[in-house]
Amino acid sequence: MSRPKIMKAGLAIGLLGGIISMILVGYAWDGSFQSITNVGFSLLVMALFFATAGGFSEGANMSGKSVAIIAAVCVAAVLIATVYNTQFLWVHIILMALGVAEIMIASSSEVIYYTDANRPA
Amino acid sequence: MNGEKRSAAGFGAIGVAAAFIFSIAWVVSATADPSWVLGSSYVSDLGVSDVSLTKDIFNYGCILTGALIMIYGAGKAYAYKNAECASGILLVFAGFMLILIGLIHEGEPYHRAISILFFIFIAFAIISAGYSDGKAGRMLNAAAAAFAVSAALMALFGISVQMGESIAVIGALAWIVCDGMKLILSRKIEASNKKTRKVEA
Repeated sequence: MSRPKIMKAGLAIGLLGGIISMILVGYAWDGSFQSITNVGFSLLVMALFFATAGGFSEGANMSGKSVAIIAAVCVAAVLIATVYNTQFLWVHIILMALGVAEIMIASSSEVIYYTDANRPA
Repeated sequence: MNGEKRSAAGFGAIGVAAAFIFSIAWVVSATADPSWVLGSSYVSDLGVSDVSLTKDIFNYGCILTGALIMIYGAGKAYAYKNAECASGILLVFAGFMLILIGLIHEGEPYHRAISILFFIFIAFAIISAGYSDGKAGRMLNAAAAAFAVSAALMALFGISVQMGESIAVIGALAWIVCDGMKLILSRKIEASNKKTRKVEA
């Protein structure tokens, strides 16, 4: 069974979200102790986006259903980061849209079936 | 459909209506009282507001929504089995606590205990339904449950108790809409799957 094309889109979206979050980490850090929470939220979002992207990669050691759950936690982290720091509201809205797209892709039965079938033992 | 005994579409519509009624009551009452600030005030502060419109809309909204959530939970428990049935029973308790929140206002004895119980019941209802959805492959619903629980926990420990409470209520409302839609659409999806299987055969 060939890898569904939608999974490649999911991988690209996850990597894009992770890279945007990485840039946000750089912007959030201003050398002060107070900026640590902003940096922490951005790091969390970045890690979750990359984890979701990893779930869509070939030979990912993750069950198909887990990817949707990780993407949902990622959207929750983006929401909390938005509420905590409204400095880059539009960037956070874009990240949220990317996260929702990840959930939609991960929830597709085709993706769940392929991921479970091609999981390394 | 996995775990479903009979149709609960009507109860799903009641759940969706409950979420919309509470959302409208919350927005209207918060708008009428300029001293209430999202993330700085508790949601229950609206029930003891100096503005009578805010107080009345919020308290009656809680009572009405609580009753609807109880009916919705009872319908869910009646239509499903296993974890989904447990979720319905927990929703009945959560609805009852919401009615009590509308009757026993902030500052009165037992209000805090009732509020905490409401959040505990709704959290376990979401987790148990999310588990059942994940097992049955309804990943959008499972994702909605994961979103609601993780957003509330992150806001509670990362920002403040007030913000955590508000995010928890928003997450719970979003989850009830998703879960209600699942109940409404479950029979239609099953019927369409049966039709497809017949055509394929």
